Amino acid sequence: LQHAGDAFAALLAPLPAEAFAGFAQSARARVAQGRPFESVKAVYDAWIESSEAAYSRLAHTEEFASAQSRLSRAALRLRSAQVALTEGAARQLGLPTRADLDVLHHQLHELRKEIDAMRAKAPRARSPSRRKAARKRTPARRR
Amino acid sequence: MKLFSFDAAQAREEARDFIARMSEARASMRQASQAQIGATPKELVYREGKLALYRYRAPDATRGKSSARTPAGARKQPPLLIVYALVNRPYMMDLQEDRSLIRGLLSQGVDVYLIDWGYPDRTDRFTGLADYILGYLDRCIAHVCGERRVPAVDLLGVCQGGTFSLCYTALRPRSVRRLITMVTPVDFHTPENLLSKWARTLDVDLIVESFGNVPGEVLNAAFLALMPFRLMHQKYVDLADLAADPRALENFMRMEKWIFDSPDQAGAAFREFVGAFYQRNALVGGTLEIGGERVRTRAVRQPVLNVFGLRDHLVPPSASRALDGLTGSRDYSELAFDTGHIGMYVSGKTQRELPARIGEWLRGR
Repeated sequence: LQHAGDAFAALLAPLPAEAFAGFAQSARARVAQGRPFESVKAVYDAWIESSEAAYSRLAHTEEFASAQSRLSRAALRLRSAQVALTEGAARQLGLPTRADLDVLHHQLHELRKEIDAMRAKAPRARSPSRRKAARKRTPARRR
Repeated sequence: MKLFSFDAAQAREEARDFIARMSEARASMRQASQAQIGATPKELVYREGKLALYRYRAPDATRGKSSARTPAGARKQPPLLIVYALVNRPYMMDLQEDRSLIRGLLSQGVDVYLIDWGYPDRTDRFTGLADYILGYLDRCIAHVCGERRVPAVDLLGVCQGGTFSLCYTALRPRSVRRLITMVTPVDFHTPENLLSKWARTLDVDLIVESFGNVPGEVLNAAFLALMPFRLMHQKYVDLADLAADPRALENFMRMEKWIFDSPDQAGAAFREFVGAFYQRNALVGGTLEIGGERVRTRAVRQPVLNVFGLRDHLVPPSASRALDGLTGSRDYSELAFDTGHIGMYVSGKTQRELPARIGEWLRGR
């Protein structure tokens, strides 16, 4: 994780210099057009624009995507290892783990699907909300 | 020629003024954060687990009546079902009175239904795309058809919900009369699509193995990282300009609430969506299968209206425009707005035009 983090940081390192180069270019263009910065906010906005442009150029590269991917994989592996350690400790104490819950949730999901399939095969079966609405209407009809 | 037209004293004054306005904005923030979200009366018509299906009522139909009433002129048209994305919450469709696509559609005489997918929890870990598209969505459509006694509905899919709607229409064409896709990704591999470039290198199995359901915060971080300087810095600096305008502050807070109200993503659906759409681009490649059924976009022969934003950074126009020629429809139209992904729902100009254009399109078919 440390290695992937360092590699990602190294990729981002030239960004401020590139953003500044873009900012300087837009400042020169303003001078040439006779449009000086009229406020600190205008300087800030130009800085944001050049930073975003520099970042966007970098973010669209394959190098960025792979460095980001390596970093996220490293962080996820660490997380998975932490989960595995915690699950090991829980098992030692006889406590249910996430894996146990996943098994139950999977079974629940399969049961839901079976119920849905049975409902679909019974086209006359009404949905719960429609049954409720029908119940509400019934006494009025009797009156 | 000078680079700056202000001097040091003016810069100091601007800084003092900025700090004062930010303090004012901060003081008004608590009140602004209480701003009401949702403008249009609605009725829950169907519930299944966490999913809720709502029918909206035209505001002038609310006086003295608590039950839903068909908006004037809507009876001739099939009901329109809005299918929102699993990412973020659907109340963006009805944020406030002057920013409500739903209210606008009702005023066009459209009978509007909306699916709220809810917030998935651990029990939804294995809910996949087939469950969402051929299960929940199909049953919502069946419910609307049963309630309104019509054979088919109009579908309006938004963003990922548009992709779902397109797939559904291809798989169950008899249940859909007309299809409207809004800021919908179709071709996930166009060069401008930064999110897709990043998603292609993801180890999606590892993400799901590690998290189970994918936390909304993780997705939000990825969305913010697409334009970090504007979305995480400039936006908050610009808050100073809203300090003296309570209504603008309320709008800002509503948007902030929506942006950070991100449901977790059901693990199986996330894995399938990223894998099939972002990584393999299977929809345009013709290899997409949902629930074991091949999605043939040529089977979509209904009239199709494709709405997108020309400055959309999440779903670039090229990703949406790919729908042209992909379906079997002989009645395909596009509506492009000079706005971004979120601007499509909240920009005043778009909100004034969009419902009327959709209404016009529906009435013409």
